[in-house]
Amino acid sequence: MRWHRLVVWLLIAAVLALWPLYVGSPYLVGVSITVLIYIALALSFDLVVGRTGLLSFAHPGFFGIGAYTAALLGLHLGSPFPLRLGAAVVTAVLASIIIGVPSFRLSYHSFAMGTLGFAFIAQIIALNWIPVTRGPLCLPGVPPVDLRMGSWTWSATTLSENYYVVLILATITLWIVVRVAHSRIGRTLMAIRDDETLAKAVGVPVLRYKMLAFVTGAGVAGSLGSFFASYASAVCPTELGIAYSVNLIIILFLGGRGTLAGPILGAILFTGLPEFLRMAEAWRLVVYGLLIILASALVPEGIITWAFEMWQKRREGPQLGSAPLAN
Amino acid sequence: MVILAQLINGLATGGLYALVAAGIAMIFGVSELVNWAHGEFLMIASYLFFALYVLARLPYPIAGLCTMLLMLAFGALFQMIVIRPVVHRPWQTQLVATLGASIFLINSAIVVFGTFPRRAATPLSMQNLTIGSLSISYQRLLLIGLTLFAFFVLHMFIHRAKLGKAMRAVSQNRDACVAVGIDIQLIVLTAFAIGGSLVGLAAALYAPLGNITPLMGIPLTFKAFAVVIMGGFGSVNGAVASAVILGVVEAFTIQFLSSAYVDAMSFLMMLTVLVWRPFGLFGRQVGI
Repeated sequence: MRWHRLVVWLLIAAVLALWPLYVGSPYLVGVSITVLIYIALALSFDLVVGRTGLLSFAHPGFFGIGAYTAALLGLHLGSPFPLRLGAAVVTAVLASIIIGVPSFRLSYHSFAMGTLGFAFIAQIIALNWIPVTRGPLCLPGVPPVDLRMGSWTWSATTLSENYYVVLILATITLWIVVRVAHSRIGRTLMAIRDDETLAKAVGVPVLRYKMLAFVTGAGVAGSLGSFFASYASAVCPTELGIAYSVNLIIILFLGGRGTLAGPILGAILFTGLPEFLRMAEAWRLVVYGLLIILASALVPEGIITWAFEMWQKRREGPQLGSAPLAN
Repeated sequence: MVILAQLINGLATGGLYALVAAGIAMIFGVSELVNWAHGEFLMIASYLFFALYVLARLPYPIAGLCTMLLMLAFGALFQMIVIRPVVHRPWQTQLVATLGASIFLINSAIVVFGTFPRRAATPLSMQNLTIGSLSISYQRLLLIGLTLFAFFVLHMFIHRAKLGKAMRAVSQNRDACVAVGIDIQLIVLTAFAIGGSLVGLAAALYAPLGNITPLMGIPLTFKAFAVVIMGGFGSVNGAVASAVILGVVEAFTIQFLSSAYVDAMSFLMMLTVLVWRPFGLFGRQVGI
């Protein structure tokens, strides 16, 4: 059966690689880039929310910190992209350690609130630290994604080139998440999510594992931020905003937490679809709000988990006792 | 004089925070559920007040009273429609349900009223009490006075009325209450209705002092929540006390430091308190 799976993966890869050629219109390629950014962000966020059970609101903060770091390096020092990416990951990781240490003293709601507080403070600093961030005027003119090797240089100036860059970043993210999920670390994280007391009792260093998931997620978010700064060629304080948190939470909770397909499906449904349908912002969010209320009442584990359960039930056929036997 | 004026301004802002935070604390106390749409209750209440007072031109006391009554009904309806289906779900699902409600309410307000800020100034908010160099708007004094009165009534209700006693019992031991036949759903409904009416009062008193916008509730939810955490989760008295402290601290921050960082104060205070006393200023040490 292995070749069977390989063919499927090759097909998916081919479709994704040829996608910008197929859609053609720059607008739709732009939408696809946004969708891919959200897929990667949602996957890294799921490492924290879905696999550890910690509802963190600081995630977009790390994205923003990465974006600002990369933008400042690119603007003032003219550093090449790999260096900016590395620096963005390092600052995001450092920030996550600074935020994580006090926040992990809190539990449940308080943890959510504490991380939200940090996200809030980060945005207020970005808005008011004028000499560095230019506040609400944003940081424009961030250089594009580029590679330099001796005299050879390449920079991603077209939308399609940016699409391939983010496709590579999203694939790396997926690879990291899959590696973590299917390793001992991933299973330990699941154990902590399902029963923290039990995990502690069998000798799992709970805090260290939670921190690991939190820091890994932050590093990935930071790297995506560095790409976003170059792609949008500007960074604004709104990049640190709560709107991102809300979007990511919608994606995870409606798509399905703790799965790989859930965040991907969620990101496609909730960032791609409205763009293709071109709904007005306010109306779209009215519908989102309603959908979230409905989903939390009807499919609290997400669409993917629900669909999977349905499919399993159908395959197993009617259960004894659930349907009256003939005669 | 500057200090006294800022103290009174701070007490007024603190009163607003207290009215919002008391609802969140009370709801958490009886249902272990955090209502992330509570700030949006205030936004809805402010628009209701705007509609009644400015558009329908009702006299101020009647418009205020109607806002309170309508918000009481709104709180109860909210519990029945949004909260009841997720009562038995894990806390993350409950949180996301109220978050969804908040997104829905904000954007419905944008669709109906637009993002343009509305004002509902009353005669009281436009006149100042002047003693020497001290000048305070009458509206703020009314806010402080009526907030105190509201908390007195609430205190009497919780300690004397049968329903109030049942609410305290539920927040202390849920299972025992089920065993002796207390209707938990009714208690949670009451908490939401009281929370709604407190916010209705807050809107009637505070809306004349500022702008009414669809986004006005967001910082309030966060600040009220920060205050609830500072006060010790579920403790109404602790939340009210922390709210007043936060109001005064914010007023002095504006006066002596900078108005740019005033919204960060609540979180800095909350984090300081949490690192120093993880169970809040007035809380018992409980796992929540």
